Amino acid sequence: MIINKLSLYNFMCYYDHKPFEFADGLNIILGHNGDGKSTIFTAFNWIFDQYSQLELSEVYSKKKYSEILENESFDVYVECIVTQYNEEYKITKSFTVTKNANNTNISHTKEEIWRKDLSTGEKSLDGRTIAKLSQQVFPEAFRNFSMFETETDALKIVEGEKLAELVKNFSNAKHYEKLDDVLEIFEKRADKQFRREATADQAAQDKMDDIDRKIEVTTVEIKNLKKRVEEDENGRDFYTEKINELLKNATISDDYKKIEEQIDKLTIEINKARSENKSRNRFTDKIFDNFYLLNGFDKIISAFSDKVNNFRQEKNRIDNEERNKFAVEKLQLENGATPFPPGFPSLDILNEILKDNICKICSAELEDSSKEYINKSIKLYEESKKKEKQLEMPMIFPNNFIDEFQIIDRTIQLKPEKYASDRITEEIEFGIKRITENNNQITENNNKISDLEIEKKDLLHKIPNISENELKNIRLKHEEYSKEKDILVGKIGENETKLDSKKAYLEELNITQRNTYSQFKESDFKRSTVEVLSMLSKIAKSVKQDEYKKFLEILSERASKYLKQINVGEITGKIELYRKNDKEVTYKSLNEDNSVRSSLEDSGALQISKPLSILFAIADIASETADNETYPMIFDAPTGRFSPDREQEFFKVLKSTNKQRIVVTLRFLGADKTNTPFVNKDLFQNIEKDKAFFIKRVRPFEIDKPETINTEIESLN
Amino acid sequence: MARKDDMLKAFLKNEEFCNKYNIAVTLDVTIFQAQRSDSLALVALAKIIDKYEDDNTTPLYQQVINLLNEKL
Repeated sequence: MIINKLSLYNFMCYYDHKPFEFADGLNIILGHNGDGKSTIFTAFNWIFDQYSQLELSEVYSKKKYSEILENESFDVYVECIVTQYNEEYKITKSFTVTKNANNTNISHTKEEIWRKDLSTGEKSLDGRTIAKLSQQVFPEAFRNFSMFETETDALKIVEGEKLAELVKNFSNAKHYEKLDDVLEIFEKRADKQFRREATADQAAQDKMDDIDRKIEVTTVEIKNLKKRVEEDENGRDFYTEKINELLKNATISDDYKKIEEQIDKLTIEINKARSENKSRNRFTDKIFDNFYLLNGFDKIISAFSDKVNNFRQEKNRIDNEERNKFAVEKLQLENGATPFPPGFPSLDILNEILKDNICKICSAELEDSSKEYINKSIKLYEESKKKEKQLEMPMIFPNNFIDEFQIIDRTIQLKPEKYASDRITEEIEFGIKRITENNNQITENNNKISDLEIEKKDLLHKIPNISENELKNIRLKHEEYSKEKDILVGKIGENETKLDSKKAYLEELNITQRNTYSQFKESDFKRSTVEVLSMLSKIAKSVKQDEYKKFLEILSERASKYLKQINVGEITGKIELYRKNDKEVTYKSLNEDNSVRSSLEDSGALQISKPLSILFAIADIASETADNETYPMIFDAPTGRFSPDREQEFFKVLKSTNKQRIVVTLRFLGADKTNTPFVNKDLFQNIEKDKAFFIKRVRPFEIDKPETINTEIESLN
Repeated sequence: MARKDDMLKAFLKNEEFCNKYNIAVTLDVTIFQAQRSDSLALVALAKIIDKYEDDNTTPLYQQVINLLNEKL
């Protein structure tokens, strides 16, 4: 089936009549968000999918509505012209909008199909509903894998039950499924009938019933055990994947640590250089402030020396004087004699006066008031001794500039060659050289650190789900997951052992059943009849599995071919589709040597190109199995995750399929200063296509005023 | 019909079945030919493959059972 034309008439943002005439090949529609890309998809859905429900009041052109007068009407329709088997069908779905004084009247949808015989040119009205015709021209099974709104749609369809459904639909396996069902029913029915009609003693009948029950129970147990094993295997695979992820991240973690170590090393070097510069700067200051200034002052240097000596002597004198004072005070304090007033007798004399009760000066007997005074003074003295007294050495010359000057003076006198002009210049130049070198190293190290910081960020980008802190705990997580995995592996082992024993038991039951069966005396209903059907039922199951396997092998091969085509130049590995269970089909990625490939090795584009490759492969096979009929594939924005290179390859593959493909995308577009979109012709001309369209809203328009919106179609052919 | 012939051939790849019921396997055997075979098991199989898609399979079952019970 080919879609020749899609006409939109006052449908959503498409004001008036807007047709797309498609080629039987690759058609690309370019459009920015909001310019009506998805409307095309919606229109196709509305036509072909009988379950597509549109709120009609939301899908007519508001611009058209704003232009009509009261009591006037206009039609809204989507018309699709398709060709199949030498017949052309014009399919129209429409409704009418009427503007009334107080409200808007919207009619029911109308459907119409016109058929045209392409060999005779004869036209006639087709009485079928669109749903009925769709079953013929674009059956649901095909539509399901042919129309994708965004790439995630495609991702959903190629796994699990939906993929199993596709595989069933497009492989011969569906016939074997049905045949298998019929043969299984026949076998069971024949078995029951035989037993009912055969004659056997009661004991044999009872035994057979018992075995039947046991077989039934054991079969359920086996089924449950298989399910449990399958679930645990899924869990084991989950943890294996997680562990692989962690191992990959562990490498990242190690790389990350190495970078941090490098940064630390560079930072240490920077600090060292800064510290040396600081000291060099001080040294330079010293040379400038002291030595250099003195250089060339030879004539007054002796006067400087004398002056310095004088200062030194004066300083020493003052210093000594102060030191002496301090020493005396200290000594007195240590002797404990300080508190008595000047001229007051010492403690020993005072004690003696008190003892003798006679004044040592006037030899008179002590009066009570005198005794009291002396006692009070002694008490005060004793108390003062208890208090801690500290004396600080006075700092008369805290900066000690005199010493500095003297050192300079002596140095110059002792080693005049060291402070010669040339030597000092050399010293200064060396200092400047080191400072320059250090500054360069600081800049260089800072640049290296910036690069390393970028590398760190890049590493973190590789693992968007893991934070910087989690990176450091990777080893712990690895242990945790490994434990979980080991538990599951243990359970799998246990359940597999149980499973084996249940299977063996079932086999025993089957043997007993056969032996008991032989006790049944056949009537008109022959035992051999049941045997034939039983054998055929078994063969049907095995043939069915073979068919699935065969089909999935072909599908895997083709999908891998497409995967390589889309991702040319990249290591893609292979796709292997397999039946996970009776209801689900899934796929895994393999390396060329058939080892399992982790999805972590894939770029985003490679990941999305896998389901697309599977879809292309299914489309190929579908056209081969469905009487060589092909169906269009319609994609709405399928390349969101693709780089420009990958996108080119994707379109190349679409083109190479030589089938009708309609792709709506916002790629290859730019926007000028006024936000008006334009086609990037340099990029777009590299894409080989059969037809191209550029859709955009007519300027000017106001985004919040739907009555100003009108999408126009520009043909780019 | 070619599809059903292929289905028949897939069954006839099973050696145990062919040996047990004396079926001489020819590569180009068709459903039509198989229904006229001397081997009743093959005739039954061909009949089933020919009619398994019928909505009501009871007549087919009866036909197969009668055939096998009477002549096998």
